[in-house]
Amino acid sequence: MTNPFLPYVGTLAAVRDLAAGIKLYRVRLEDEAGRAAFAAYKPGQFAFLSAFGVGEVPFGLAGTPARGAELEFAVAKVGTVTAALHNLEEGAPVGVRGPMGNSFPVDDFRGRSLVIIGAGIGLAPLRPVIQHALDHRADYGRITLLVAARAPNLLCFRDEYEQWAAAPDTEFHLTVDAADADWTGNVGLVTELQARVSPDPRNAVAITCGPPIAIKFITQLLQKQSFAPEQIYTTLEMKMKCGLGKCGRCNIGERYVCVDGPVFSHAQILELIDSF
Amino acid sequence: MAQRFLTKQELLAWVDGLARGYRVIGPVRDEGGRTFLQEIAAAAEVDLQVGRPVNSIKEFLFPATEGILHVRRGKKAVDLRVPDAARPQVLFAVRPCDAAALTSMDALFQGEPADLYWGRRRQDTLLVGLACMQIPTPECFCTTVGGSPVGTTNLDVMLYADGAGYVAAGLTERGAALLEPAAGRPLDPPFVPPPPELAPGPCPPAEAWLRLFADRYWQRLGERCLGCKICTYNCPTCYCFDIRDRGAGGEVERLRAWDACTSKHYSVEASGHDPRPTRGARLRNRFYHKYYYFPWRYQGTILCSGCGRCVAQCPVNIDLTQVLEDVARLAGEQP
Amino acid sequence: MNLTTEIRRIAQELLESGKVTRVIGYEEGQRGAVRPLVAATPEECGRLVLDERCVHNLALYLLDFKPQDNSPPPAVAVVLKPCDARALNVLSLEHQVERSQVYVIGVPCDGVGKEACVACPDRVPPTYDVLVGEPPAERPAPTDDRLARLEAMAPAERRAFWAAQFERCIRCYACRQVCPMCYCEVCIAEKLDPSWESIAIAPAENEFYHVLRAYHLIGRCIECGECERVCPMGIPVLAYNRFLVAEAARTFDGFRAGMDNETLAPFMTFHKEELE
Repeated sequence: MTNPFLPYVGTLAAVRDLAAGIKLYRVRLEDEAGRAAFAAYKPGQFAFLSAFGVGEVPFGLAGTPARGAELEFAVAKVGTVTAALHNLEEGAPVGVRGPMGNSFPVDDFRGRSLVIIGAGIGLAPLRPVIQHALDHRADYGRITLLVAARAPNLLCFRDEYEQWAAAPDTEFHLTVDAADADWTGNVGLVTELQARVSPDPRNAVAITCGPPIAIKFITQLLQKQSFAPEQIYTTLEMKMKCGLGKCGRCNIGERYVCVDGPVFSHAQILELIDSF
Repeated sequence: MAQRFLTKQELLAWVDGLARGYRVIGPVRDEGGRTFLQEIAAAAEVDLQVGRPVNSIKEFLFPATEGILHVRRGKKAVDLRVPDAARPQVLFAVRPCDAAALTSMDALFQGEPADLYWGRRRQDTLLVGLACMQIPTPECFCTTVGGSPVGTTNLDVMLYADGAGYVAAGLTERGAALLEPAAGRPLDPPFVPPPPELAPGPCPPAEAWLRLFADRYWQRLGERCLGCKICTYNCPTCYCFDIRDRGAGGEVERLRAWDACTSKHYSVEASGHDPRPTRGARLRNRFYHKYYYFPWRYQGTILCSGCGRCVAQCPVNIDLTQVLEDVARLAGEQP
Repeated sequence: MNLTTEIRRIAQELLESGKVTRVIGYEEGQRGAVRPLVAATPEECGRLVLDERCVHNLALYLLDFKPQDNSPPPAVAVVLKPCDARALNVLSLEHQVERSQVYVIGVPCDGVGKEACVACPDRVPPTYDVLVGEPPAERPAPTDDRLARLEAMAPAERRAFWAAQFERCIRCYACRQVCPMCYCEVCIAEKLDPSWESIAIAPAENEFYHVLRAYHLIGRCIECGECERVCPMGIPVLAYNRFLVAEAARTFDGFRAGMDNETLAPFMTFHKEELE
């Protein structure tokens, strides 16, 4: 009988700085069972990374299997487990449990335009959607990307923006809440940018992720911009422990973020009995 | 299945026999007059009087703390091992409410993906029930949630106190086998227990809970709540748990331990954001989990067996039976 | 004088006049018990009761009125027995509660049946704004036999006694939650960064928690005995607190916490002369 609490053993194949206080980890799975489990994970799914001796934390899978067998995670140093992870060097062993959760219904999105709005580290779980869409470019209509962060040093995946912007029928917009000395781009809240860009809701799907307050305002504005709740998708976060729907912690009302989510449409969020 | 009548002596002798082969858990009264379920070495320790132990059988199937993983780690490699299973055990003199609680716990832990730790303990546990021929305490409310003081759900053997002795009924194959070595005379025709009266209170339907979610009722109730974990920890059906590692060097244990959604930091995220920032919101979450969320997910199974521990033990008199009445009444009053 | 009638009259007047925004008292509960009530309206004051069943230390609930920002706390009234009022003095001394914003409805007390009442010498609250009821006749407080037995034990015996007690502990933290003096934002037993003890509910961790709590209460425990009353496992929590209260009294000239709100507690005070 498989034990869903037993992590697969992985190795930290590469660590690089992604943004201030945020690192990008590439994890190589070391056993056959792990590789099989992660052979076909979908955009929006997550996995638990173990810092043995401290504990485990869930992270959105920030890449796609099509782009490589190694798993990518954006890890912000915000607590004890992430601090322990930040202390690990390349080659260190880690544990991985997953893939878990539901995913963005990218197949249902085929033939539609995509409006992807990522704030801060919220861009990480959206990156698989971007990669998938660019790798299947003909399946999707116009792609509009809005990337935001509180400051330039908090922008994630900066080295990929040019590549994204250069894709066919793709527009790329960037803003920071507050500039630094070197910044020459847009300055302003993501919603201000979103208002200016005014994405076309016709046959479109909007996908957003960021801190709860950002999701709230972005979604409110999307609805004002005539996106119906069924057209808006996000990925939610609650404190999590097991990822299996067993420990009872990550519920928003009767839904568990780990098994009923983390991807929810805004229509589903409106039906949630409780708030996040 | 066949019944037999055991004198008290014969019953105790049988339990002593069990203790030679199994770990036996039974109710023991301490000098302070409190009864606890604990491991016993001899049948004479057991308190068979009508009453409700402070703790439930939960901890013997789902321990308060359990090592779920053992990690031996070097600089470049780790070795992961699942700890061995525990000894087979007999839970003796289990109240029907505690046994009934296993229905919801099984639904949770045996559901996909099945929990190995619960599964093997469950498999290695036999339950010998003791029927409530009188209602043990004023806080009991098993009938409100569809249970019965003489209910046999999830038991392998049931004992009924009858005069100078006990009627023992083997309910399952394993129960009958367990009962095999006991003395006593066969009972024919079988004894049928007259269940004691316990009028059920209201058990509001899902719509009632749905209607009241935003009501100020929960904030007001939260005003006196201490935010402790008494109700959740001694409850036979509360199961929320935490997972964290212990050990800094080469030997690490990943622990699973009880936790409670009533406590202040339960849902606080690393960013500091708290989706349930008030005691009222947390208390509401606990009640809704038991009476609305769990039934929604598990085919109507309520996460409560009406044992009454939370009612008896809450230091500020937050009474679940009153909450059920209030929900039924307030939902009826809503437009 | 009917205490219940008097309490209701005073409470109603306080709310009607707007002198306070809440009255914290006791009301009839279920199954013959009383329970705390935070009365918000004059009508709700009609539910207040006062009798020997009123065991709770209501000073605890004053902590709920501590503002998160620098705004002044709201004025509240609270019914306090002698030990409860000592708690208020300590909270006031420690800047957790603004004494001038609390209207104390003091209640003389001849014991409410708790273990704590056995050896209690206090009959009248050391601070009050109005006193309801007649002080009972003076009588010498009986000795605390339980404390005497503990003090008579050799250290090894006492160690074994407490080890057996802490084995039963389930770390429900009721003793901490009910204690007005335990108001740390994050308890040391649950702190993660750094982590002082694991999440295990086990004898070693239980002992750590209780011993730490006992030491954090030296010079602060006002012996209301709520900790012991609420323990579902019957652990004599008050006994170790009383033990250290006695130790502190012997060391610091008979010091008793909370007898006024000016005398600083020994463990919180440093006098230069102590160096000499």
